[in-house]
Amino acid sequence: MNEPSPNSHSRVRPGIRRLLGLDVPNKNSLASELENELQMHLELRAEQLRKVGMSEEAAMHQARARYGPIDQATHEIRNYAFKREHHMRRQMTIDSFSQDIRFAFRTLARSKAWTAVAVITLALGIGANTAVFSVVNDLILEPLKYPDADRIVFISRHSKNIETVPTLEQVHAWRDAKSFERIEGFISGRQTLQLNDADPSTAHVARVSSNFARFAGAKVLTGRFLLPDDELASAPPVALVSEHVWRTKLGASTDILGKPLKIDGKQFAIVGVLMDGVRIPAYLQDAVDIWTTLPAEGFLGGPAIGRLAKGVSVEQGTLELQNILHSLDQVKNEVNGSVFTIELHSPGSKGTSRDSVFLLAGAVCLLLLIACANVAHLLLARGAQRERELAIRAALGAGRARIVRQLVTESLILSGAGCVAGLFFGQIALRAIVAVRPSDMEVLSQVQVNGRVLLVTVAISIATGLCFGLIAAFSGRTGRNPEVLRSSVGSTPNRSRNRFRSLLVVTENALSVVLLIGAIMLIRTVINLHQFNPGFDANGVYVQRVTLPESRYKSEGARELYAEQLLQGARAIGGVESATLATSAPGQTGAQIGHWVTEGETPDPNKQENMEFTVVNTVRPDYFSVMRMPLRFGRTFGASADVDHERIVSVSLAMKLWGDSNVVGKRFRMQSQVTSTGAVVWNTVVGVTPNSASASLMDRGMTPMVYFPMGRVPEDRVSLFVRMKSGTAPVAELRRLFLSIDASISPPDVVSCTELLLRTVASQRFLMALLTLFAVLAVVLSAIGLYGVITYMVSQSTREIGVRLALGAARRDVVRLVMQRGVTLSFVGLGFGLIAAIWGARLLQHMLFGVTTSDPGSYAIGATLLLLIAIGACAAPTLRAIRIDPMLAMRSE
Amino acid sequence: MDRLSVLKGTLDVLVLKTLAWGAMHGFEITTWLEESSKSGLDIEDAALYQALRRMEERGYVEAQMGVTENNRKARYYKLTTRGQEHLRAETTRWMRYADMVTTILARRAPAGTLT
Repeated sequence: MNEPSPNSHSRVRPGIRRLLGLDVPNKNSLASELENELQMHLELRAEQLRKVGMSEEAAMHQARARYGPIDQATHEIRNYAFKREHHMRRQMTIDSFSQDIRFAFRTLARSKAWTAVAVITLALGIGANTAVFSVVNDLILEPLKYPDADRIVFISRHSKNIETVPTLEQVHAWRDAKSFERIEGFISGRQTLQLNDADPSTAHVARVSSNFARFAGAKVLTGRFLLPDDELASAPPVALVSEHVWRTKLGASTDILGKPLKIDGKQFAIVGVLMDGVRIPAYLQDAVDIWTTLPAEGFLGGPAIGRLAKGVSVEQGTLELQNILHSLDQVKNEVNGSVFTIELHSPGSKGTSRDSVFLLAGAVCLLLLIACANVAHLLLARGAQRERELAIRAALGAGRARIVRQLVTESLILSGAGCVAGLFFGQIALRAIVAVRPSDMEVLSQVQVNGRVLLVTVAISIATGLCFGLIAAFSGRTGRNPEVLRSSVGSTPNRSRNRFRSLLVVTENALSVVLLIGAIMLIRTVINLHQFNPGFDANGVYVQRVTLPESRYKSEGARELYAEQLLQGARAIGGVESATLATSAPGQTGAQIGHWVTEGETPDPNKQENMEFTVVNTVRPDYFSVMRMPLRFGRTFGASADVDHERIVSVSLAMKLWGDSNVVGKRFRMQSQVTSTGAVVWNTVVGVTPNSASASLMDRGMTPMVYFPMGRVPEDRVSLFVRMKSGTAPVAELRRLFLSIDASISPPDVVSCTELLLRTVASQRFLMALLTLFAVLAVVLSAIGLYGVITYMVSQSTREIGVRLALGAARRDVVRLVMQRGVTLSFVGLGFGLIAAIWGARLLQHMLFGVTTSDPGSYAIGATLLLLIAIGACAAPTLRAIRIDPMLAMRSE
Repeated sequence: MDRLSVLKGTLDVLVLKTLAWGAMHGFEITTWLEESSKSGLDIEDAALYQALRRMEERGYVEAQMGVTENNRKARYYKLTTRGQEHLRAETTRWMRYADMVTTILARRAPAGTLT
């Protein structure tokens, strides 16, 4: 017996054969091997028989007989070979995939720093995108999540740029509209809720029709929804609690049905629990805590919502609602209503938060682009380093497809890791966004990373993986260049690849500049807002707002008593310098929309351009002294019997109506201000205030304002203003004061006036915070990109620099050589970036304060910052370049 | 002496035992078995090759192309580690089985009992 001498097939392990692209045995060879084996057996057997004396023919015959049926044997062999090959091929596919993956992991693990930078870069891009697009999705793409969302429209009334909400009466009239399946209206607001005997708390109460649950696709967890019978005036008041309230405040108890709860002191019976996540398009988009029936009339808490009938266009719907409104107004002979036009728009397509969110989405897309460009850089740089490895593999017979597959696998693993890390980072980022959300984006608190966004993210990461894998595979020569093998240095610089890398750096720099300039403009806006003089002294003033429940404060006596007790109590607290009452506080002002008529002017019922949006506040006479807001002209409200018709106006309103600021003694009225007998009622200006930013810091006090006198009897909304001598607010004392006057009203938050003013620009601050973060990330990423390119360039031209130094070049020249390239690239990027920024800054227009979109300072700061960072990024590789030892560099060949 | 046909299931272990001596091609295995059993076993050639393929599939043996003394290309079969383990296990089992069968069959009937 002799040792077999295995041929080439068996010497090399199949895995390696596959890796190198060598031949692997195929089906035909196995079948023929086995057939040969059979043939050989028969021949050897015949030979054996011949030796014992059989004739040639008999021996062959006997051999076949001893073997058994030959045909059947051949058939078996073929089947077997087929089966084996099939199995082997499948095994091979699995093997080569797992081998690809293992190999990729090994390669990635070998350069840990490189892998970490790539994964973190991707994670930042993907994570920021996930977070921001979760917000976009929630706020804009599907804000309500009602069934048939594509046919849901918001219905609001417009005049010029002023949007108002419809009244319930109008909603009732619109319900007959043929273009709509259903129109719903609701009233919502913050009210005092008392459950069991617990302390009162503030709750978001939504009042809706009995049809609302079906309309919004809301599910009742326990009990029932509101019924048409509940809406009758004679029906006992009933309410549903939200799942959240049920779980947190009622201990998810099952026997709550029929139990009482008090809203503003009025008792309701609980009839059910409504699942969470049902939203109403209120301006204050809090989650609803309590659901109850609609009152008979009043303004809605937000736009009405309608579901268009199938096949009906928005235009048809608008027209029909408009006509219904007109006929309604003619019946009621209301002049005011007719100047409004109806506007239908899809949920989420309006509002300032939408602008901010879109801006963020744009910014975060730029960030992702930069991250992608950076990863492309990294892969390219690595591709260059690996050229030798790839060349060796190609020389050993690996096919191009095989190498491409390997590189793509690597990139996919990289982007997969980036995706996982990105989701993790996205969660953190989303939580951060929620934490810094402005008060008018309360709805953000419920945003979760959602499934659709997750899918998009995964798609993005796979696309980037494939894209970069292919870029790496096809850039350069993928090892088909024997030159590479001969040169021990590795590769020679590749012109087309360098051009591509330069293009990436230029793009990154351009995008970074855009983000940087946007962030600078917003930072300056926020600084300006903080420094802006609102027209009164907000320092040391604290504000508390309460709404007196209608049920117990219907009588003027009750309201007067409450107000007096509040003022007296507040003034008695130690450290309080003065206290006053007004209806509205900064940022939460009431407004009047209508046409002002001045005395002597002929009223023109058809004149609609004079529709004014005027901020109204009803104040006590000492309001101006407490707020340290000295009147420019005239006096504050007096004690005369005619005080009800005294008005104090802001300079901006005076200029608008009379073209003059000293208008004391002039008379004016709202066009609709007519007594029941038809006589006109005039108001007299007794004082003129300077312009003040009472409504919002953003309006710079330019919005016309009118002050009404608050007599002894306040309205149901009361804001207590307390000026402290020094130090902070006596929060505990104020809280006790409110509880001691009426324990059933939840004590309001004590907020400083400065804080209230800043809340009016919360969107700007929110945008600034996030945009600044994105800009910083973008700049860091592009600095890394530039650093990578220059470092690579230096490492590629080590020999060249060495030769230059040996030939007597000064270090200075080397610095110039290296820096020149980096700075040139940055300058080109900067140029494109500035052009893009000028164009993009228009999007910021409405968010800026004290800064114009063409503010040269912001552009200059942005450009300088970027150049400094570019120089910084080039510094390390430059240092490395001048430290090159000419002798070592030249010997390194 | 009559030629015994191989008991079902034992051919595999006989082939493995043969290959424990070293790599062989199919005909070598046949002749080796015939010589070892002093031609006492009747093995159908086709069955032997079927057994080889079966065991190749299970990973007990491994085939490699090699060259014979007469310079012919032939398929050489070699025992794998798994095959060695299988052979050991099967040998023990067979020995115990054979012992038991032998003990039972060799037992003499007690006196007075009709056989």
